[in-house]
Amino acid sequence: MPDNNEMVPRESPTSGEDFEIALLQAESLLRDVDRSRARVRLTQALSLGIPLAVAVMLTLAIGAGSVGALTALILAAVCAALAALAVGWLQLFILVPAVRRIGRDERAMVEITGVLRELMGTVSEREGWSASRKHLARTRIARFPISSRGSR
Amino acid sequence: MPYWDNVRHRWLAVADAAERATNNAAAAGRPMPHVTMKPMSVVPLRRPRVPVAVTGLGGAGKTMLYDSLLGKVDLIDYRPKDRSDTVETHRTVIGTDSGKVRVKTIVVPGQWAGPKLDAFRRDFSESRMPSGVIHVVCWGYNRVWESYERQAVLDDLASTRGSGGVNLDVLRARNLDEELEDFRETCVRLKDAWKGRRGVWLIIAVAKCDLFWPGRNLARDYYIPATGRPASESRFCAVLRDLIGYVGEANLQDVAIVPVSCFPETYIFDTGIEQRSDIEPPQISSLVGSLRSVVGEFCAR
Repeated sequence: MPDNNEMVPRESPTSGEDFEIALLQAESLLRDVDRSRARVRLTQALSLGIPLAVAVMLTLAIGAGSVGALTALILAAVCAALAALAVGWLQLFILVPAVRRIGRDERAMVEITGVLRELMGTVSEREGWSASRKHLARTRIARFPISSRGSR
Repeated sequence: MPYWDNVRHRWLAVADAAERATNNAAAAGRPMPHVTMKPMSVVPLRRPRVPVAVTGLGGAGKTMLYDSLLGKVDLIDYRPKDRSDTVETHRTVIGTDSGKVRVKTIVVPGQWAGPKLDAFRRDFSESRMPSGVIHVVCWGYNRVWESYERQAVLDDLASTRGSGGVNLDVLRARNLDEELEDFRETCVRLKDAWKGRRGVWLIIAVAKCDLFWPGRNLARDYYIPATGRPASESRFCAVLRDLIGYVGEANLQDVAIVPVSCFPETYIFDTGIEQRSDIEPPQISSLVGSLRSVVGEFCAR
């Protein structure tokens, strides 16, 4: 009966090409994460800015015109409701999906680069990488975080 | 006494003191003056004077080592911390026989990532350099933090050796290569920082020596160059000699390479790839005390 080593075909070692493909994939995820973070920051700014802008405009409009108290109250209530709707829509349809996407992509990216950091030494030695190629690979990997930091 | 004989002599003194340490007389084995290290007050009134950096490959035990120097590691009940993903900054008061020294220490994360490169760029330049560096190595017993990273390492080793060919020695050889590459990179940055500087110092802390205490002489000969440069010298020694040749023996007069252990912990990489701790708590206390003495001695100069 053949021993276990013969029954299970031996995996081929990680090649420089495998390494490069994985690194490109991680870099693509990093670009997506950066884009999503920018979207989150913009959404957060809008979520603060919209109510603020509405309040300022309302104050100016009421101050400049000769509207009665009841009209001003109704106007304020309508504007507040619209602002809340806009902010709610931003949170629900832009912010929450973006934060989820960041978490998902970042976890994948951290896992890929964690493995690449561990394998770089053996792959580079096995394939006899030049000093400049090693330096380039290390510098590219160093762009990635060590652990997920969420939408911050 | 020749340069490397001094370094070797200190290793032997530290190891002998630990060997003599017993439950009843840990202090009797202390080879050097008593030194204390404590965190500075939360609102320090005076600025730290000596900048120190703790470097080393990921999983070598840098954070635990510095905690241990500060007396924060309880040998009975200590829960090791997770992987550090940012630079840790400590402001410490070191009390020696000749007075107190205020030290600012940064512990640089081991993984090649933004925080490490930032720390090298910011704190290892000609304008801002550490007066002293504690470089932590561990004779190939680095911790690989995540299970999927450990599995990838095992799979890659098995792909060239077969699954039965991967054992602790193979893994340690791989880890020593990683450690050497990391030390080489650190030396490149230190050359920038220490070029032409006087009075800088280097301690190579050979950590986790509880895992290889009976075979510590092999580690000593791997990390400490011999007088006369024998042909069989390790690649680590060659890199160290290169650094000292570049900075200058006169500038880098204080070099120590000492064994240390902070906590008796079994090294487990995977099923069957493990190593048990092999020394007693009093010996660990003696080793940490000796390293603390060396740090105090170098910082006080």
